[in-house]
Amino acid sequence: MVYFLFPLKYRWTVLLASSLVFYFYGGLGTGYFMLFSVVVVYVIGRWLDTCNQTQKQYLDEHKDLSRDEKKSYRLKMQSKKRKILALGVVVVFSFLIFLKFFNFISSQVFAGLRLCGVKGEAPRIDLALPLGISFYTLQAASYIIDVYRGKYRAEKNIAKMTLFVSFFPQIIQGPIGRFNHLAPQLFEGHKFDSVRCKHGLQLALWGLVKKLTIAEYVGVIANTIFNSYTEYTGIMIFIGSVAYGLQVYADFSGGMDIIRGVAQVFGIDMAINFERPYFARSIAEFWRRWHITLGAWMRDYVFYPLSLSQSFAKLGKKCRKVFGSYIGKMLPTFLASFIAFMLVGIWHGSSWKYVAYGLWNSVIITSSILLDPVYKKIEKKLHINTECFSWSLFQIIRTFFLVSIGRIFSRANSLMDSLRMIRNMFSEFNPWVLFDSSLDNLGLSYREIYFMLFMLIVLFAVSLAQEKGIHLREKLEEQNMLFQWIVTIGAIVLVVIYGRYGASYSLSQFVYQQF
Amino acid sequence: MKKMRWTRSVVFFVLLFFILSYIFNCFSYPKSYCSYNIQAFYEEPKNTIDGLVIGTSVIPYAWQTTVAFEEYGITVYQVGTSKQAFGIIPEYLDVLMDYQDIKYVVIDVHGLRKSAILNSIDEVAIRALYNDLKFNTKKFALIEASLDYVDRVCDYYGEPEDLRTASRLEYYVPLFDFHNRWIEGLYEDDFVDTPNEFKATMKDKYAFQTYDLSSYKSRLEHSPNTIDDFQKSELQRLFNYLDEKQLPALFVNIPSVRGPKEQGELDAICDYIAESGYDVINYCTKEKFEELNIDITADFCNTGHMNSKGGKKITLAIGKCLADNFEYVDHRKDEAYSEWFTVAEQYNKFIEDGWKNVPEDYFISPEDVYDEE
Repeated sequence: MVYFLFPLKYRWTVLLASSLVFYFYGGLGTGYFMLFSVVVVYVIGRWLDTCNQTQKQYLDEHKDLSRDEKKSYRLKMQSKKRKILALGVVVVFSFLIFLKFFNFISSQVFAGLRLCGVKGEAPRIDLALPLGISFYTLQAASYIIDVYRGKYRAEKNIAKMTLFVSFFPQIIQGPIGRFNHLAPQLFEGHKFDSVRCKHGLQLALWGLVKKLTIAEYVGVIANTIFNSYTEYTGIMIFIGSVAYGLQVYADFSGGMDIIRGVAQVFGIDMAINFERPYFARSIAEFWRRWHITLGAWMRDYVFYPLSLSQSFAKLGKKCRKVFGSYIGKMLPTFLASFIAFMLVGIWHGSSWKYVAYGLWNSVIITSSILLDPVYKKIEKKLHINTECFSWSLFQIIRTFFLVSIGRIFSRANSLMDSLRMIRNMFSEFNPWVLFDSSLDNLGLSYREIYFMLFMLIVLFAVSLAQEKGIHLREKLEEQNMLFQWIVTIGAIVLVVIYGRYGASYSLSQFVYQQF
Repeated sequence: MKKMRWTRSVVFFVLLFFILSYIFNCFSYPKSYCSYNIQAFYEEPKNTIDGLVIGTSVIPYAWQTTVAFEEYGITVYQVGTSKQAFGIIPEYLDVLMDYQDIKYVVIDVHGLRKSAILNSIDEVAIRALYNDLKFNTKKFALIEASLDYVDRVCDYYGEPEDLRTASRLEYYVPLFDFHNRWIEGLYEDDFVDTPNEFKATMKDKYAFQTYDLSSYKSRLEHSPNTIDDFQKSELQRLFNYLDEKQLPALFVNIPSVRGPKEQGELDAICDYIAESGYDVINYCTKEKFEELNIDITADFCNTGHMNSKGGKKITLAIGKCLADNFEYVDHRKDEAYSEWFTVAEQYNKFIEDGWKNVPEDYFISPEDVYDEE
């Protein structure tokens, strides 16, 4: 309301004020880290922009320079900009690394030292991780890298820069926005549009349905199995990992829908973060559909810069001589994607289990690229029709299975626990647990289990329709008003009655909030 | 087109409001055995009730609205609830007096016993008090007062603070706490209000249960006792309220068989009230038992509560006192109250039939009895 009451030109200030209130309400003590990051990226951005403008102006004014002179000047400026960029990136990431990884690194170093006979306690910092630091750090870093690349001019107004970094709907769990896409929308005032507002609220409502009536239910099963995994073997462990996979999807994508829906009310179209990832036919495709903005960040700022770098090209040349042309040609790609996925894993948290999670994805992806010719030969020899539904279904199930195993690394309490769980999963084939009373003791009553299954079918149906390109909100808009109301009110009632919130439940925070 | 859209939006939100209100009502705290009296209270036409009888569960067991009407022509409703917190009587009266222009109030003192105070700060008791009340702004004040009372009790007696730390929002919006009731199942009375047809007079089996308390005779002895500062301050708070509203009040101690120490505590409460200049009648004395012909072998359904026989005796006694000493209007001569005679007749028949057909197991042996002690 307040947003739309302000003059168009100043509406962004309402968003800024709301974001700061929201952020500081979430943790006053740690809010200063975010503000300091804003100052750093603002200063670095302006500095890089000045360099870009100086370079451009100099070259415009000195058109008579020879090609070599221009090149030499560009290299000199490039070197200077690189140093500024490095300074910015190091400072911005140092908060994240220090606050998120210091205790982990310190404990590991001291564990190593203890093996060498050195005594002493590993130093620790007991500081709460600033709200959304993993998200806003990547967003801030992308801004200075893009300014360095000359993709756009730096923002002159530090208040606007603050809004870009701290915009309240996205601060907790993304999506990781890009300045050139998000900033103009934030700073431009938007008029009230009832249809857009309605669509935004519908999207947010769907997000609430996913969070409170799906994620929170399957989460109970996942928690029961993961928290006492030693009591389970075989299929039960697999059920746990599938439940966690569904939980994290409904939770994270539900959160994204709420965020995008709220932003849409203000006229801001935020980046899409999910495109039905469980319909992916390979792990690589899965990561193009899952947490898209993180994948895109890694692609643009890690994978491409590495794989296209001179050092990687040199390495490829060397390997071509040793391992042959195919491997030599593909090695920079393998290595770059390996590093990118390791970083994705580590980004999730400071624990060996996240390293293993990254490693799992890296190994699956690189081996699938590496073995692609072999797979093709097998398919040809066995005369497998790869253009039919059954093959697609097989690929989807295979990917889902691999993703579910990977989930065990990210959800288990430790790396050792995850390895034990995987061992237990393959230690016994016990299909009878699906038919005896084993499912009774997973923390949900039968009524709740039936409801959860119903909601999973709804989720599947909606996802399938979206996968087929059907825009459900537009379809709904085409229906009679009464039907629209029944659907909307039905969804509200569903959340109000069946949602797991309030005193009787311990509503968990968003899963990705912890990352 | 724009106008049409706005109109639709308004209609949508109004519809949503009504649907959610209905859901809020269904998913409030499960109906307590005292829900019927407040629902019956709301059924009465505005400003037709003379007075209220307020207190813990001793009140619903004892007070018989139609008996008082038939005998004295007074219209006095009981609004007692189980473990009702004594400290929030002012705010509770404020809510009720929004619907009826009350001329006087009868307040039972059982809720001021220390054991009752500590029992009353329980979530179920607090919710039972206000979840059946209709929405009005004073209801919020009552909720706030209930939670403040919990704080006061905890501060003084150092009780566990689980209620204090609970989210206050969940008291204002019961749905936050009770929407999960769909798992156990909801029943007809969660959807439909079922007011009591006998004007809030108890009609369940306890009306006909008899517990022979002769073996508890020693409990009728009173040993001297005192009351603490907290009890005094809560009484003072109530006195201030009554003075401010200029609301005449009669404090009573309804008969029960609780033991010498608690009888002594109730006596001390009555004495303090009398010393403070307010009207009080202690019906729980040997003299009063004799005067009212209260039979401990036949008039109680357990040690803490009377059955319909005992209830009638105490209703007649309090009713007489109200008719003799408080603003008195005999509604029996008023045409507008003719319906009350019909209800009284039905109630009398219900009681008569009930006592004729009391099942064997309604006569309870001492070991089966519910004993509040």
